[in-house]
Amino acid sequence: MSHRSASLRLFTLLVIAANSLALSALSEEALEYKVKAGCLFNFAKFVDWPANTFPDQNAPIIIGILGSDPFGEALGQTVQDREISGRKVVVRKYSDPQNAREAQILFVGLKGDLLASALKSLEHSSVLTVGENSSFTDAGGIVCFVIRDGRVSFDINPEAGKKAGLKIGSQLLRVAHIVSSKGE
Amino acid sequence: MSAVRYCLGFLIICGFAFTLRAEEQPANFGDLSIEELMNIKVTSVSKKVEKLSNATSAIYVITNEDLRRSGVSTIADALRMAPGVNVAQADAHTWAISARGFQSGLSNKLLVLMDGRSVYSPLYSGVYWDTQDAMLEDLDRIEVVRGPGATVWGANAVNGVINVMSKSSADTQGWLASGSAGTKDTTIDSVRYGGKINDNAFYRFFVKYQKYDELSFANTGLAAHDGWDNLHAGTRFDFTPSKEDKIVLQGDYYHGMHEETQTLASLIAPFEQVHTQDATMAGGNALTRWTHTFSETSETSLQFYYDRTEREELKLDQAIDTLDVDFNHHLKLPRNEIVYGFGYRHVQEHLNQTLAATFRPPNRGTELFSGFLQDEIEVLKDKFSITLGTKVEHNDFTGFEVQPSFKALWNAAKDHTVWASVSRSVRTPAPTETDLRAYLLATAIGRLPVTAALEPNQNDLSSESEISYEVGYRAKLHPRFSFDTTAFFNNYKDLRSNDAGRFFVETNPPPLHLTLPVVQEPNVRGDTYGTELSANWDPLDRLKFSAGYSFLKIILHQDNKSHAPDAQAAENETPRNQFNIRAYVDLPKNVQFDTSVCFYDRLLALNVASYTRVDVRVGWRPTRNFDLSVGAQNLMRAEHVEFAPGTSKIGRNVYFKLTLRF
Repeated sequence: MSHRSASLRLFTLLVIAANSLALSALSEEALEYKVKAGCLFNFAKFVDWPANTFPDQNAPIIIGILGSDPFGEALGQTVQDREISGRKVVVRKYSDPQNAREAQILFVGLKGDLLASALKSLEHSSVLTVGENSSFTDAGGIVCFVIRDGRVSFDINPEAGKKAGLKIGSQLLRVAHIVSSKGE
Repeated sequence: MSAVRYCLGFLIICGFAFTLRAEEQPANFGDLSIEELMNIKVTSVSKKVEKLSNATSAIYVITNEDLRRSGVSTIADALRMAPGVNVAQADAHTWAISARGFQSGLSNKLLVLMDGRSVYSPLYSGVYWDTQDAMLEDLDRIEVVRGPGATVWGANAVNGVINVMSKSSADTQGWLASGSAGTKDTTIDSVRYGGKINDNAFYRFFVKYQKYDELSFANTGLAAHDGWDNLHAGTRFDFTPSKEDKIVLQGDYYHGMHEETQTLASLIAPFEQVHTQDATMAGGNALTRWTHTFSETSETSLQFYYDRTEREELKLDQAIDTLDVDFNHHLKLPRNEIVYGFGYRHVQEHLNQTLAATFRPPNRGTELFSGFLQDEIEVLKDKFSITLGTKVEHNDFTGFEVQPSFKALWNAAKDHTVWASVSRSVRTPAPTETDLRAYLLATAIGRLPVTAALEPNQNDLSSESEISYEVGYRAKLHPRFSFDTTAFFNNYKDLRSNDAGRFFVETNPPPLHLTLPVVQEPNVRGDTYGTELSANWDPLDRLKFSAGYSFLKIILHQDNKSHAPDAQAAENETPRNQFNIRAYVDLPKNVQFDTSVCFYDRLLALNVASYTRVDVRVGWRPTRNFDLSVGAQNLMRAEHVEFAPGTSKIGRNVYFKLTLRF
């Protein structure tokens, strides 16, 4: 086989390779949020809320989403038909931080000033606030998703957790990256 | 099969990577544990660069996945993946490994640590690679730092530090059994069990057996009698008694043998004798480390370990006990990140006389005291920082040694980092330089035996020292493409040369003979300079490339007073150019195709030609618990020599391997 036809084949294959970039990027994102949904469900297992958080024994554990929702169907599918400590798990969406106080776990899809004011109002409210943008824990959030080494990991600010009256289990703290609130 | 056709075949297989269905995913992520969730790769970009983006050294990380997909069976071979590391297999159980030059079986400028325990032999300043072993499946990563690591790691980390880190036992739960067999009659079998005592205490036990058949001599083609085997058992416990404390306990025991054939000098005609025996190697170690976190800004670590190494070989019969205590404290202040520490090491050597070597004194005990301090100062928040540090040690040979370093880091832009460093490091003298007498060769003039003998250096021997200037640049040009490049210039003083003295008449041992004494003297100085480059490109989720290149030039000068015949030979005993490229391809039906091509330049002074090594592996992993692979090492060339002549030829090995988890 001559060298010229060999290098032509090489070139064609590389072109196909480059075009496939777009396709795979889509499926990557879907997977990332499926994994994050699984993590939210796990948070519910390893966090203790104060005794008066639930109105009664049959009240469900509420995972709320405030602001933009990146999960799509992933979160709903993850918690469907599942129970933690005898309680069902449900997903609710909120647009007002005041209403969101009823949730046990709240994914906050907000940025900048909106984020800061929402977190301030939820500071002592026994809600586990979860986010994914880089200044989330600085602004007072408790858990922040971070992609490290191509995998989902998360930062936990235990002080913020204490302020909210939550007890975060060692199983979570062990696998998380512990951060502190800056500027305090 | 020509190289061109091979490349095409490989690219066609890559082509299959494009037409794929989604990889198998669990039905519901709510069923997975948090550890399993955190283990799933959600992006294909190797984020190694991001984690290391603020390192002020040339670091390369060999991950657990690299170890699995490269199909290597020893840590020595795994090091081929790091640019700037020179790896040459001399015989079935000996590797010459160094970083940035001065490669030999006794490479003494490289520090190697296994989970914090130094495996650098204080006896001859080198590493016995046959007994530095672990279950590769349970290794978390191998960090390869090229360049001086003296400030933090201490003396003898002149040209690099290799840090082999195993996974916490919490991450290695359950059973793992792995068996592999190859055409060179190699067998490697290992079994591990990991369990837990409670939610805060995990452990694992493992046993690994490996056996390698003998190779053949490069020059004669006859059997080289270098086959070996080793049985290794180990354990690890990880405790988290409180949120602030972490305790690790580790222990290993190994026992093995290797065949050996040595031609030893003799004072009786025909003045050399070939001896063959089975050498034994055995040893064990116990290590414990307690990490205490006072707060997010203060963490201390205290480590003890004991190591015993025994090797009974024709030339060297040794038993070495090492006791090491290390403390360090990591402190984060508003603009300073400080690490400081203290260490003490006691080494007791028991060296028995052999046919070839005598040590005086035969039982030497040495003590090493060390302290270090390093401060990373944030000059401009998240933009520019400088790191000042120094290590001060006191050893029994040369007294105090000071090894300072100065580094700077500039985050030029998001995803672009430039760093530079200047540092001094030393390699302290070893008993093979100060205590050893050995006949090197013998012949006769008429009936008078004449020998050359290595004599100990009785003078105040200084350490070899190096001042190293390095600069590096790391960039992530695209979410899927990153690279890392380094350039260095090292200036050396007091490197050793084998200086010949004057003949003298010796009567002991009889018969009367003429001896030429050879003494290792610090009479060589020189410079090395070079560059290293590594790049990662992941065009697809299923297709990943890694490449590395290094260039090295060594220039040595002998002092005028030196009478060494070959002091400058070391200039050409390390490859000038090295290149490697690896590809990992994920094909449909959970099949993986992995290949690597490594090129090593020739070793002029040792008459070793340049060679290319091609490794291929095809693996099938239908579930996480079942991994079957077939592979070939050195696919293209039947046999070649990697190091000095008189050693063995390294040839093609076809193997298959099965790993089960349950």
